[in-house]
Amino acid sequence: MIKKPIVLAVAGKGGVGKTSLAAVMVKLLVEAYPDKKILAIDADPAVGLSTALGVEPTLTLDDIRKEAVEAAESGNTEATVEILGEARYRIFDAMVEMDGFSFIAIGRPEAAGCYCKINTYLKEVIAQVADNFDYIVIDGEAGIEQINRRVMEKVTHLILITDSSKKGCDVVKTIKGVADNLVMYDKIGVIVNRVPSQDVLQYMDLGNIPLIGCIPADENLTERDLKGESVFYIPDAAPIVEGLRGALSKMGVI
Amino acid sequence: MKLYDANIKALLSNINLEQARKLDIVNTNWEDVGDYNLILRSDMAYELGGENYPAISAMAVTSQNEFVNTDEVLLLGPDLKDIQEDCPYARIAIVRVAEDSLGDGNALYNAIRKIEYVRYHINPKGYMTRISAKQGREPVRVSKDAIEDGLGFAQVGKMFIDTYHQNKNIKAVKLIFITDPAFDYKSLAEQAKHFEDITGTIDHIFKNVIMDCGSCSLQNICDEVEGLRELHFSTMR
Repeated sequence: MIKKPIVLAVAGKGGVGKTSLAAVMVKLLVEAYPDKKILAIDADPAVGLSTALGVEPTLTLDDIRKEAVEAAESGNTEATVEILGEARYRIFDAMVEMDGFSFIAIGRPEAAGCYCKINTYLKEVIAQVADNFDYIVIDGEAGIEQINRRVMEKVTHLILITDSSKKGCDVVKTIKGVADNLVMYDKIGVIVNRVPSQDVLQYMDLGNIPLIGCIPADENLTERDLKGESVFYIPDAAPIVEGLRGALSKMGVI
Repeated sequence: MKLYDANIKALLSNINLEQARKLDIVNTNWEDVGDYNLILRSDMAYELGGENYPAISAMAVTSQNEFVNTDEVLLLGPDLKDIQEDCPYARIAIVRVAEDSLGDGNALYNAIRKIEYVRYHINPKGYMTRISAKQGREPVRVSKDAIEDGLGFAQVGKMFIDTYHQNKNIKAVKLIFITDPAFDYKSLAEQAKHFEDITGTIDHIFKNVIMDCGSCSLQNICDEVEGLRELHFSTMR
């Protein structure tokens, strides 16, 4: 049963709608593959994906990391080994199982100092658990290097998000440059989110990143944000859902 | 190796082994899926020791034939196919080793822990153990598919025993699974903790060779367990 999951990572400048798109991505995968195992990973310290998916996590990966660091700092080697040895079981305590998908939050890296070995080990544990899933969606911090450092080295589909701003475009090009150097994806594409009109596309410089989607500002999302509702309540015909469905289809995901 | 013997005797006398079924483990095989053993709630038939039910594991080492004569898997309560919902659960392993085969000092402690850590390396397909040494719990998720495919404690037990025997010092293992709702899990949990305390005290002795017993928080364990005090003072000589 050795199969590798399809890992979709969402990255881009802050405030361009990454988290909402990652959440809708989970919704689309759940609808397209009701029999597959789907994992949503919130790798953004702001932990917004949980709200967008209607999940209430009580434990994060960084809480487990913190336990190990505290044990290590107190000189209790056995406790550290025990905590790390059982990390793959503890992950299930941090995992929230919803209807059709599972969710895990990485949390905030609060402990100071360098704990590279613990980070590396926990990353291996995440990878080990993740291998049990068919599809994984990672909502990352702004850049791909954080995902690489804290969550997972191998992303199969890197989905970059920008708005129509020059800064947004520059950020996605930079992320692609870093990702190319790390040799860490199979497919890449960019989605332009909240475009005021299709006309602006001609003025945007996205480098050589394939454009896979163009999504207008969506009042369905604004309404959901106001109510604090899960994206699962957004109608299928909503522009954000339609636009993202097209983008995932272009990448061969659905 | 007599450190656990008095407690093994007490534990076994509390279990009505005459009512336990000895499971046939000859020609019993099941796939070990290693790290690929995720069972989500949607795939799960039930969880042994799930929710607020007891989920106890106990492990003790002996050299006495009277406790462990041969390899055997015993079951007290319904087998996996007969369980319909979450229920209390316990797994007890009494491991017989060759006399004086585990060494002394840190080697002894490490050898005992190595035997205990066998549980981290057993992943029967459709039987996902979630161990927490900190909470002293070992619940198990059992998948619907595994039940349909005929998984029972005989297959799980056989896998445990085969894995124990990869350690050449181990001569025989008595493995007891308990799922009987009427069993006294509270007493068993206390006895399991006592086993763990003995193991912890062995470690403590070798890390704190020169010390005042009167000020030691583990003195009651040392006083109670035959052999621990002897072990302690042998390290001071």
